[in-house]
Amino acid sequence: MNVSIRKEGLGWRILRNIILLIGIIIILGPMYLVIINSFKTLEEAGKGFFSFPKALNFSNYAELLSKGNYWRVVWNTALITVGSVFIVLVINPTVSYAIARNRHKKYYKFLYLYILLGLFVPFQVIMLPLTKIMTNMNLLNPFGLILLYGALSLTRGVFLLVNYIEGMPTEIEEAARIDGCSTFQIYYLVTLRLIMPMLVTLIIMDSLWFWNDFMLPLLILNKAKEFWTLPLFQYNFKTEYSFNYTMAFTSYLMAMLPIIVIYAAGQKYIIAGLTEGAIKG
Amino acid sequence: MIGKFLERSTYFLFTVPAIILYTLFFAYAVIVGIQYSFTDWNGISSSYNYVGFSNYVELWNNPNFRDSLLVTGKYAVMLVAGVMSLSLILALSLNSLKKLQTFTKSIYFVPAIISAVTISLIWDQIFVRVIPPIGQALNIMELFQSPLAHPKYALFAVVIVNIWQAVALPTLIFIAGLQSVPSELYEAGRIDGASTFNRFRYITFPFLIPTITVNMVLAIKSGITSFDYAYTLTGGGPIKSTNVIGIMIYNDAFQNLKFAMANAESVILFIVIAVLSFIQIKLTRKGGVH
Amino acid sequence: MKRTAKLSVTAMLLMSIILTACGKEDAAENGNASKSDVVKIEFFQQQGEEAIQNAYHEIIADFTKENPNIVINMNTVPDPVKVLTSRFATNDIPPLFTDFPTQLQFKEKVKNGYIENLSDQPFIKDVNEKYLDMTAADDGGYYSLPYARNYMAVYYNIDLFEQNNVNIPTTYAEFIEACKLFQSKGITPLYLPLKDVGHIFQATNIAFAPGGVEEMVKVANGEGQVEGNQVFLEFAKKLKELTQYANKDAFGVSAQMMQEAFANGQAAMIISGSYGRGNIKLANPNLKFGAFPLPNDTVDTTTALSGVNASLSISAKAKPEEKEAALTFLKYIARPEVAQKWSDLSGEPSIIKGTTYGDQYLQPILDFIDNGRVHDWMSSTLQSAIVTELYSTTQGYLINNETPEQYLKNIDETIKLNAVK
Repeated sequence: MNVSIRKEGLGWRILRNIILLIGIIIILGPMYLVIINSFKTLEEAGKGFFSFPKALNFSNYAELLSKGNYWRVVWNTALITVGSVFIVLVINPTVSYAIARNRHKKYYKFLYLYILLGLFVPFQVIMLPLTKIMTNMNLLNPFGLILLYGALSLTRGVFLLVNYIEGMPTEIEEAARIDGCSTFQIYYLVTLRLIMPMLVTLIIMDSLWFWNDFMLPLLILNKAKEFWTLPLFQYNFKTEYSFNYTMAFTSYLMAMLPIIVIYAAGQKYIIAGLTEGAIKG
Repeated sequence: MIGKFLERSTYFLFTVPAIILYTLFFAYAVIVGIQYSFTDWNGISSSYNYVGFSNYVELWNNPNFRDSLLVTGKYAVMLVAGVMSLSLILALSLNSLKKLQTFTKSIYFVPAIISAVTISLIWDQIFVRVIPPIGQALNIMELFQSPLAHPKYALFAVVIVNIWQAVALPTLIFIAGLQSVPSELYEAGRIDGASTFNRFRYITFPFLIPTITVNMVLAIKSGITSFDYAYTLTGGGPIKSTNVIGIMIYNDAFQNLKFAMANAESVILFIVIAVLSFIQIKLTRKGGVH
Repeated sequence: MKRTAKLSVTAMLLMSIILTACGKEDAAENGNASKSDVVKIEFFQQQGEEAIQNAYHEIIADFTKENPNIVINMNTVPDPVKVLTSRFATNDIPPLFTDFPTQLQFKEKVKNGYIENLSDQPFIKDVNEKYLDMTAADDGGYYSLPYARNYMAVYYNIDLFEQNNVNIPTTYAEFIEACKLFQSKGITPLYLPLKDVGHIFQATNIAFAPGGVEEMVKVANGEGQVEGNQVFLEFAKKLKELTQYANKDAFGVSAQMMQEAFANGQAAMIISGSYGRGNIKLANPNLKFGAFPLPNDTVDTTTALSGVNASLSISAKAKPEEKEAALTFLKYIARPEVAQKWSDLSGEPSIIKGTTYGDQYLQPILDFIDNGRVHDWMSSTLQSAIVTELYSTTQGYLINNETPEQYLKNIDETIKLNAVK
């Protein structure tokens, strides 16, 4: 349903198209520079930073792939993202559902406030205590990071989901209860399906966070290179290859590539998912 | 009776995993963090003393902290203004697009999927390798070197990079808000002869208020706690012109052996965010369609 | 009900996959229990430069051949100084690590009993005494094996010097003369990285204000000021004078961009740390460059900044078998022939006795350091918080074009404000 202003004036249409075009240039311009320069040698880039490479030179890519444990890093990032999203899916909707349906009870009211307060806590407050707790529990590994992301996802997740569930009609749930469904069945068969749009929004937002996060992996996964995720890999290239900037561009592209591929494959669903969830959220 | 009990226990069980994880990895950490702010722990010594509020008193008298708060304030204001206005304009433009709307939206969302570290590194290269040649060609003195090198422009440059990424998500949320406006209202407005601006002011805007609230809260928080962009692009310089509070906390905690002080700084940050969010939510509650 | 059962089974399966997958990795990393005769230890190595990492990799491979029952996992992370601090803060100290033993931070770690005393180890006697002395802790003991030294010096492009008949300047006047000559020929005399002004500040202060660091320590202790100090005023004027001969975009240039520009022959000289050599070589393997100390007014007062580079230490909190393994590695790496190989591969000047430096063009600066006046980095006597704040103060002096007198006043203020009593 697209209910925009219909018969808008010509002036607005021209202005709008100019705005959008400039925006696209500003967004794709840097991408263009990254791509073309990643295929150049340092010498060629020195001669023309904006020009198209004369020949596709893959040596930067070959060196990057031979050097680092790139595939291992991609695998780690994927594993951590998927594992964390799984925890998000298990704990976020359940607790939000329980809160939304029992807001009048003290325990749930308190719980809601308890979790929402977290929205205001800057990460810096918990940075070091968190590292300490993780160390004491022997959780300085991808599994620990997954648990951590699960816990940290709760503030935003509960904030968005509780609002969403409260805005939902309860008739279907009541009908299901009369038919003899247990609370768990209602949750699983009815609610979970109804909150899907918001859940999709949440999963996309959280996935992007888990995939791109730098600080927590740096604090939690610094024991061995085998644990690294893409942002750490990327940042490390800053020290190793800073003088060789075409190589640096190659590393930027390789760091972005997996997520861009996933995005390109699913962009329709991602964009639709984000807008649908936000409508009522 | 049993049914009732089962129902209640299911609800309760639903909250258990969340409570355990949240308490262990979040609430407990917050309490420990606040507790450290009342000590003199330097971060590595094996023992420390409780010193009451003296860290807070010292911060109150520390011009560096005040400067840093000021920089953070400027950063947040510029970020919020930039993100809100741009994402609203883009949302209106995108939403009225008839051809290629999905495709264009997809392009506009690209910055949101890339990590802040990568984005900062890319823009750093652009500032260094693209801006100076342009400045020399146009003979503009200020652009002879990377804007990041100039104490007057560095903060602005960092905010621009942050905006470049941060606009994407609010734009989508605004589009969602725009699509919740019933089309009959526009028809009515048009029949009554309302101008484009008036239609926006009296029809669209009230429906956007809830989404404005969401976008504002998120933008304010990310502005005040920002760290990644300034840290990667400038490290806080030149002459501390981009030394946002996030960087100050990080350096004090891990470099300057002032761990307890860093915690006091972040507790103050917590209070600032909480107060601002509270005011903001109160203000926007008054108007708007829910 | 069926669906419920299915869901929970899937959930449990997924959980157990994640658990086992990660559990395995965990065991691989920390598990020295798996095979009782093999000890695995982490080696937290702070220097990310490619050549240095490669050199350590080679040495570790050789070591493993000789000691098949010890596995050393080198670990190099982004932002290593801060990560190491966080690991000390959380009591998760790597059994073997590199650190900077002259810095106050390190001495703090020693004071808290985190680091193994190595004073009685035989290899301590193999270290060049001049540098070993710098690393003595407050109790007089040695808690690390100093392995390499570093310095700040003027790197010069030998070809450009020869083409223009310029001799190596030995006094400040000669240095400025050389700058003028290059400038008149359209060659950038000095490429300055004022975005990373820190080490330039340290090098120029130590070169132009002998005894200056000690003055600043006094200010930090609440005794005296640098305002009105003639030597300091000289330093401030000279530092500003240097910027006249620098590249136009100096304020936007980082140390790495400076290395790149110098490697490509864009400037006759740079003031660089010894750590810049590797990058210059990588960017242009054919560049011929030498080094000389940044000269003061006379040859006698010329002082070079030189200190101990990252050194190897053992955690006092490690398990006995880990300590044993780490010690075996230190004994191995301290052998002259191993140190020589490491130095050749990394390009870092070793301070193990019996090694020679492979770069003939840079040997003169090392000779000067061995025989001439040398001062350590500032952070071994001044708190590192003060030192980094002084970087900003210096940036302000140069960018805002403040007067030297104002600069000195600001230095006093910065030190007083950031000194921890």
